[in-house]
This record gives sequence, structure tokens and C-alpha cells, in this order.
Amino acid sequence: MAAKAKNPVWAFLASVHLALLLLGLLASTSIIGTIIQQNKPAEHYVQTWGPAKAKIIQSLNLADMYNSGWFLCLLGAFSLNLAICSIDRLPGVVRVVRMDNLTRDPEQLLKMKLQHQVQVNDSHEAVSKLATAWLTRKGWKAASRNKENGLLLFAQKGAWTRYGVYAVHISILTILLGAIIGSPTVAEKILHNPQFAFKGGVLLPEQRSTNRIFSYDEEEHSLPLGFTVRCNFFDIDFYDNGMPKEFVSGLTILEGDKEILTKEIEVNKPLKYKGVTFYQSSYNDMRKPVIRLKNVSTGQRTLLPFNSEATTAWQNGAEQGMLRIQDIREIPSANGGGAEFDIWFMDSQGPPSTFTVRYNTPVLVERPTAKYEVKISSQYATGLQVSKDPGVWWVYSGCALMLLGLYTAFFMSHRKIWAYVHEENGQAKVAFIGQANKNSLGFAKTFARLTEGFGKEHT
Amino acid sequence: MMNSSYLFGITTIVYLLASVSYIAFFVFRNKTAARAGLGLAIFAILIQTTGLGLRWHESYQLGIGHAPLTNMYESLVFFAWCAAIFYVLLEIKFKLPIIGAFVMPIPFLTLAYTSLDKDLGKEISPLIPALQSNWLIAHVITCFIGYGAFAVAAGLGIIYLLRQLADTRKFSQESLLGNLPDLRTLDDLIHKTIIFGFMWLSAGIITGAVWANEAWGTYWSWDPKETWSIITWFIYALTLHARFTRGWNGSRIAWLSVLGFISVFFTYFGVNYLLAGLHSYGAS
Ligand code: HEM
Repeated sequence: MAAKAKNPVWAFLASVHLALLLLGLLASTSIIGTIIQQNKPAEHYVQTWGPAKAKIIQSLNLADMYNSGWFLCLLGAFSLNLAICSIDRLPGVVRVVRMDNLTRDPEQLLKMKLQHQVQVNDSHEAVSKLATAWLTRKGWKAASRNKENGLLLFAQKGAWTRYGVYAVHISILTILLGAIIGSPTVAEKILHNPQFAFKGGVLLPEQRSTNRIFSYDEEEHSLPLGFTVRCNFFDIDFYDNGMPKEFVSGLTILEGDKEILTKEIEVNKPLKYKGVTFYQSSYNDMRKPVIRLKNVSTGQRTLLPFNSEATTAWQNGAEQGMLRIQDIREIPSANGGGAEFDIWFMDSQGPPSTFTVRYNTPVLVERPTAKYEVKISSQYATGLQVSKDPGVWWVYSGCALMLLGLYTAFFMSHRKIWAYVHEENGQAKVAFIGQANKNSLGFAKTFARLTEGFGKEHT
Repeated sequence: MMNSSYLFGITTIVYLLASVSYIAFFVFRNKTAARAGLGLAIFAILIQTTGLGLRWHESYQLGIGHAPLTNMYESLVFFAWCAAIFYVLLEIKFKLPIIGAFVMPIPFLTLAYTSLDKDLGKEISPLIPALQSNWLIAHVITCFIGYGAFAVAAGLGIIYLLRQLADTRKFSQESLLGNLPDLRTLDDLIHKTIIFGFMWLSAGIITGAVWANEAWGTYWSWDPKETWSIITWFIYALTLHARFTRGWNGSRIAWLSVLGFISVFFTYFGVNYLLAGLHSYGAS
């Protein structure tokens, strides 16, 4: 680092001054997008900010500022600064980590602040052995070299922690790389392969399946999934106070006609298949009645079309049976009225059951070998967010690396101990010298315990 | 009746007493006052811990059991708890009770605010589906430990600036501000505190991103709350790096520690009350 005269452009790009400038710019410009609402239709800006300001907003791309050219350039410059700074400094750090600490001149070492001297009544050789053994016993594996007037021992811990800062810096680049890899825009505009990474959604009615979804970037664009997904059912669970407790969709993945995988997804519990993730995000009421059977003991659900003219045969796996709507009656009630249905129902065991069910209110039906919940209610469509993000593992790895790196950089240190064994006035003497790059107070305590312990044991 | 709000009420008063003791120590240099301050602070933390546990328990009794970390009120209470614990640990480690005069009012004011603001929903409410995630718990805990540390750092920054004022005006050693710790010690403490907070803020942003990805399929969407948290993160990253460049002396770092906390404050309050976004659950 020192000898080579630096190219001024390189020096500028590697400088911490530039880093401060860029961090300041990123922090301050990011505020804009929190004040101006993002990605609204053009009229919104004219209405909220007036035509003059709306023009500025448009010309600087402030309506989608985090994807605007200038903001991406800022992030790019920041990454470049970070990369060059690290490349610039890393060789120096490697040198410090690999440094041969036994070439040090003992007289110079004896000028350092942290030291402790111990006199021992024994020969110089014997004391050297004692000191080496002591350090080893305390976990400091020492190497040694003969010096002009004695023997120099050296041991160190945590030399690698000097790389912690660079782990943090690399982690930031890794996260940004992951963001690029997972970006739908990059997949579409640069790779010309929108299937590589996308974010989209689909509104899938119960009992229907699809092999395409709609990309959010290009609404009219539908993307092939490469397999089929079917919505078996959708259900909402409420708390006593009427707040929604859980949204659940039963999904099945099919390859051709073959059912590969069936899973119930909830918000926070998505389904992953072949790199594509399905998230529960919304639902829609189709305003068309269906009949819902749920086997209470197995949890198996069956949806039947609402047919008041004929008997419907049903089958779901090993379960099967028949159902008929025998009568429909309007019933007046305070909140607008509803309907009541007389149902004739059977499964594969025992005689048929008949019972009455109100719209939207489940009824429990006991059968000889099973118990069913029968409900007539509206058909739903589940709103799924569907995304494929091949960069997310880069992002997650970067995050993990960042936390490890931060911990290393902040809370661990590189500690060195020398022991110089020499003779003074015919007496063997050990001078311990210590150094740490961080937390020098903490290290001074460790050092005192170590060296005073040696003194107590050997004098 | 013994319930969690009652305990938080007592906690508020004990934090007030602790603050008064620390301020008495600052003004009169009476060592007993400092010891009383620490004792009261620890006592308040114990009561508050019991209160938090009780609130958790109460939520299970209502049949909607969840950690008490899911709305604005609960997070403010948790913030006060983190700031107080962080301060007490700092005092035990560095033995500078004068700082308590500037830091202990933070948990007191926070809790006082929660009991004065009538719009703050204090009842234990069930969680909407998006909030039912362990990542959310991890997210809130990590963020608020960080915020607690940053609050203390801002307090330290203010002490630094006052001390500097005393030094440049050549106030006598007898004057009030002459009691404050010396600049080097303060600078070192600010740095250590920010480092600690930065670690936790980073973890907070990361756990938040993982949660968002589990719930919505996007780990980062630049909504105002996310954006403000990254702004805060940039400010503290800048503060850490400013130390390496000459010319950025202690007072600039002290100002940055205050600016950083303003940004934390905005992330927390400003976004809920002034801007719209995904995280607006906190405003209810
Ligand atoms: C937000 C982004 C960044 C983060 C989170 C970050 C993180 C860190 C951390 C945690 C440290 C150790 C600080 C300490 O020990 O107190 C550090 C040191 C450093 N950073 Fe960064 N950094 C970032 C951006 C940059 C950039 C863009 C540069 C470009 C010049 C840079 C240059 C340095 C240098 C030169 C050091 C000192 C290394 C040493 O101790 O030898 N950092 N960084």
C-alpha cells in the first residue's frame, strides 16, 4: 500500500470520504420516496402536488424513485466504492494477519505499553521451556526464535478477526448481487427470460386450476408456470370479535394430470415448488353458492356444485356418497333474510341422513363411520401472490455473513503476546509484552492474569 | 386490581423517582442519590418485567396468546424496558451514574406518554394473519434493543455537547457541567453504544426482511417504514466510518448520534402518523 504511488482516480474511488458522501446522499435522497407516494397513477401527483411540481416529479422519476436511473447509479457508485476500497485494503490486512511477529526487535517491543516482567532463579534455557509450557497451557501456542541476547516467544489469537470488516463489506455486495439476480426487470430486459425471476399473482376460484400467472410488471402479460396449480378450497377463520384470524387455501400442484403435492397455505406459510412460491394474499367472493363437505375427523374437504334439480354424486379419494337438495325456503330475518335448505345426504356407510342447513351456517352430520360438516356458502377465489426469486439465497447468505462479520468486527479482537526471555545481571528474566487491536482494557486484564500467574508459579 | 397496566403505572413512577435521584446526583454530587437512582432503576425494571410477563399471560387468558410486542403501545413499553436495561448495564460496566440524569428520563417519558395518549390502543387485541409469525417477534425484539441503545447514545451525545460547551467556555470545575465525564470517555462510550445498536438494528432489518418474504414474497419493497429504517442504518454506518477520517472529531460524532436517534424516532413515529405504508398496524 505504501510504496506504490496511487492513481488519483483509484484513490478517490477507494476513499472513505467518498463513502461518507455516498452514505449521506443515499440517506437523504431516500427520504424523498417516503414523502412522495410511490407508483401512483400520474393524476395522483398533479392532484397532490400541483402541475408544476408534478412535472419535476415526473422528470426526475420520483414517482418510482428507488428504480430510477439516478438512484440505481447512486447504489452502483456505492457498490463500486465498497468493492474498490476493500480490494485496495485487503492486501495490507493479509500482510498484517500473516506477519512474522518474531522478526520484531526485542528492544522495540520493550517500549510498548502493556508489559510485565518476571525474574526467575533458573537457567535461561529452563526458563524458556517454562514460559513456552505456561503459554501453551493457557491456550497460547507459542513459536520461538533466538535473538542476539535471548529467546523471543510469540503467540496470537484471533488474527482472522481482522477480516471481519471485509466480511461485512462483501456481505453488502452479496445482498445487492442477490437483488439483481432476483430482479424481474433484469430477467425481462437483460436476460430476455421473464420466467427466470418474476413477481405476479393469480386469482384462482375454488376447484379451478391454472398453469399461467400474471406478472405485476406487465399486467397484460401472462407467464407460464411450467406446471399446474389447483385451488381445492379457500377458507377464512374469524376471531370471536369478527376480526379475520386466518386465511387458508388448499392447493395442489400437478404435473400434467399427476398430483405431485397438496398443501394448505396460510399467510406466513407459503407453498414452494420448483423455485416458485405461492403466498396467500387476498380472496374474492364469487357470489355463487357451493356446497362444502368437511370430514371432521380426517379434515378432508369436498366442494360440490350447487344443483337444486338433481342428485349430485361425490367422491374424494376413498370417500364417496350422494347429496340432494330437496327443498329451498326463503327465511326473513333482521339483516336482510337468507335461505334454508333441506338436504338428503349419504356416504358409503349406512342409511341416508336428512337435515336442514341455513345459508352460511355449518351443520354437523353424524354418520356411522364419520362426521361431516356441511355448509352452503358462496364460492371463493383465492388471491395468490406468486413469485420466483432465484436471488433470495444470495440475499439470505449475505445477511448471515453480515451478522457474523459485524459480530467479528465489533466484538472480537486480534491479540498478541510476546515473551522475551533474556539474562540480566546473571538472572533469567521474562518480559511479557501484549497488544490487542480492540478492547484494550479487556485484554489488559487477561494479560495481567496470564503474566502474574506465571510470576506466582515460578518465583 | 393487579394487572399489567397497573404494574406499568407503578413502573412509570419508579422511573420518575430514579430520574430524580440521578438528577439530584448530577446537581448535588451526592453519592447516595446515585446509588438510590440505580436501585430504583433496577426495581422499576423488575416491576416492568413482571408487567410484561403478566400481559403475555393475560393474552393467553383471552385465548389469543401472543408476545406483548404487536402494537404501538406494547412496543413503546418494550422500548422503555430495553433503554432502561441497556442503561443499567452501561452503568454497572462503566460506573458513570451522571449519565443516568440524561438517560433515565427516556424510559420515564416514554411510559408517561403511553399513559397520557388516549388514542393509543392499549387493549390486547388478536393478531391479523400477517402478524402471526415468529419472525415478527424476532424483528420487534432486535429492532427495539437497537433503538434502546441508540436512545442511550443520543443521551450520551447531548452530554458530550454540553461538556464541550463547558470546556470551551472554561466553566469552572465547580459548575454543574464540570461534573460531566470527560470528552474522551464520552466519545468512547458513544462509539461503543452505537456499535452495539448497529449490530441489533442490522439484525432487526434482516429479520424484518425475512418476515416480509415469508408473508408477502418480497423481502424489500421500499415502503416508508423500511426506507426509514435503512436511512437510519445509513446514518449510523456513516457515523462509524466518520471515525476513520480525520477532521471528524468527537462533536460531529455526538451530533450524528443525535441525528441518528431523530431518524429512529421518525422511523418509529413519523412513519405511523405522517406517512402511509404497510406497517401502519402500529398506528391503530
Ligand atoms: C452501509 C454500508 C457499510 C457498512 C455497513 C460498513 C460496515 C463497516 C464496519 C462495521 C466497519 C468496522 C467499523 C469499526 O470497527 O468500528 C467498517 C470499517 C470500514 N469500512 Fe465500511 N461499511 C460500509 C460501507 C463502506 C464503504 C462504502 C466504504 C468505502 C470506502 C467503507 C470503508 C471502510 C473502511 C476503510 C473501514 C475500516 C477498515 C479497517 O478497520 O481497517 N465502508 N465498515
